[in-house]
Amino acid sequence: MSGLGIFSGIEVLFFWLGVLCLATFQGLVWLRWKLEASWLSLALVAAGCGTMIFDVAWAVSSVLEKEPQSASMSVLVIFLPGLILAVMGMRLAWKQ
Amino acid sequence: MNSTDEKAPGNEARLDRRNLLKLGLAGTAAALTSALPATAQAREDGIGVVKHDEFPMKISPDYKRFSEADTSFNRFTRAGKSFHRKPKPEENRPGYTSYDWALKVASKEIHNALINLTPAYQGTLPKVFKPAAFNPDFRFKDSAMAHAVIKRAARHFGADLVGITRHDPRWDYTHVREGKKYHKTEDVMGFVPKTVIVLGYEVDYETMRTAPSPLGDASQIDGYSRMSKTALQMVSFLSKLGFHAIGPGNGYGLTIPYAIAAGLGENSRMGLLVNHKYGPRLRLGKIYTDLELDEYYDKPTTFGVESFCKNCMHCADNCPSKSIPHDKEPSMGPPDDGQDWGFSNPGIRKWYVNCDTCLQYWSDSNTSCSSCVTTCPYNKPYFWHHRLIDKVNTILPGPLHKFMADMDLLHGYGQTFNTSAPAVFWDAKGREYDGFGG
Repeated sequence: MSGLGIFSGIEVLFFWLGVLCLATFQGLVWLRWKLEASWLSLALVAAGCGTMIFDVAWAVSSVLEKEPQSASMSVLVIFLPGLILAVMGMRLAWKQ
Repeated sequence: MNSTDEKAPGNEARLDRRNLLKLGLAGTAAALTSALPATAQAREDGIGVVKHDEFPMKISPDYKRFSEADTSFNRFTRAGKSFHRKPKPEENRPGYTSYDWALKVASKEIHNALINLTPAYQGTLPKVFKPAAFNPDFRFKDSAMAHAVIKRAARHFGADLVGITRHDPRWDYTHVREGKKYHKTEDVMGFVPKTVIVLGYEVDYETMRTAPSPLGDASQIDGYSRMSKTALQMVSFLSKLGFHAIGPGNGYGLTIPYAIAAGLGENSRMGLLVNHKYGPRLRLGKIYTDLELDEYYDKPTTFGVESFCKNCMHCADNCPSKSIPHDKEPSMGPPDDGQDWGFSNPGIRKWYVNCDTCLQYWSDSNTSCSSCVTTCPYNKPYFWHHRLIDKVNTILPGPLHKFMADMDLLHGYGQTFNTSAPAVFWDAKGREYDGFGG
């Protein structure tokens, strides 16, 4: 998983995590400005997306270290709670 | 209020979305709480990474030095038993093929070549390197500089970890072995040591995943070769600066207490040193020298290993010879189980491992086992998420250590007798050997 033979897998991973974090931040700004979402819903969305991004980092790192079971387990115990939080936050934001 | 609420009778419990959320949160909290055993122990030495002025393990006033003759290795040999047999390849058994055995045996060659200078194992006396300074007037500017120079040199020569501690005769054997002869340690030391430099060498994670197997042994044994090579270069370095030095590897004294005193890690349930970076996946050697560093010695450091070991039990559960105790608390002596435990020197608060049954398993399996190292939750590759968990574990209260240990197994780590691991080690996919990859 090296980037063009220049970057290591971890370096590529953290580049894309940066992109995901920026996209999440822009999404939160959009929710606040366009939908006037409450701070509670934004907090839920931020916590959910942060948890999911953390799991992406964990799962890809686990695959890179050749421990794929850790990647699948992390989806169950980290990504899914994050998804639930984010969905709850989004539903709250859309309601308003 | 939605239509469902309107239809619900007055005081009856309703399972609307809000109540479902509350129920979910309560259920999660209850599940987490019940997952923690009532017997889980909290950490006693503080929070985070703690530096100590004194040796961090309790030592009885009755504690006495003991002889190298009483170590389990020597008792086993004296009884006419061998814990390592000849290579016996099994071409269809992962980790036991001809190339696995060849890797193991070849790993020892550097040690064999240097055995009369800086042996890594007990049984051969190391050469005493006498002062042969280029400049007889050379003195380090101060002890701080000497401390830094020694550490940088050791790293340059191949050590992954370096700790420096004051010489402590409590940890030296009273007698050391040379073949079948025993000598008083002070008689063969050749000088009065003041400082002990403890060197640590990482053992490869992927080979340790294959333990117990000859392939798993290969990187452990390569650690002994690296130990001999680095020790020879270090004693030569010290000699050229005008100091006496010897590199006895495992001999002359107990390396683990010296490593603890030098701040390289903590003792564990399995009796091995656990380092913060490499866990128990480590080989340790030492160098005695008469260089004096005044107050510039490393301090013992604890980061919650004892608390973790009280709650984890992976090594005891997975030990194929049942040599590692399940006792909750460490003790000042081996258990009174009617056996002759002459190989364990009592008087230090720790978990006492039955080294005789452990070595018997080495002999029976024709490997150096190392299941305990493989299954230990501190044994991880050097990746950011494990460093994060290690940091978190230093501040977590004891009961959560049990939860972390259980999660470790659920995530697929710590498997012993893993027959798919040798294929992962030998697989060329995802590796680059020509310098062109990322």
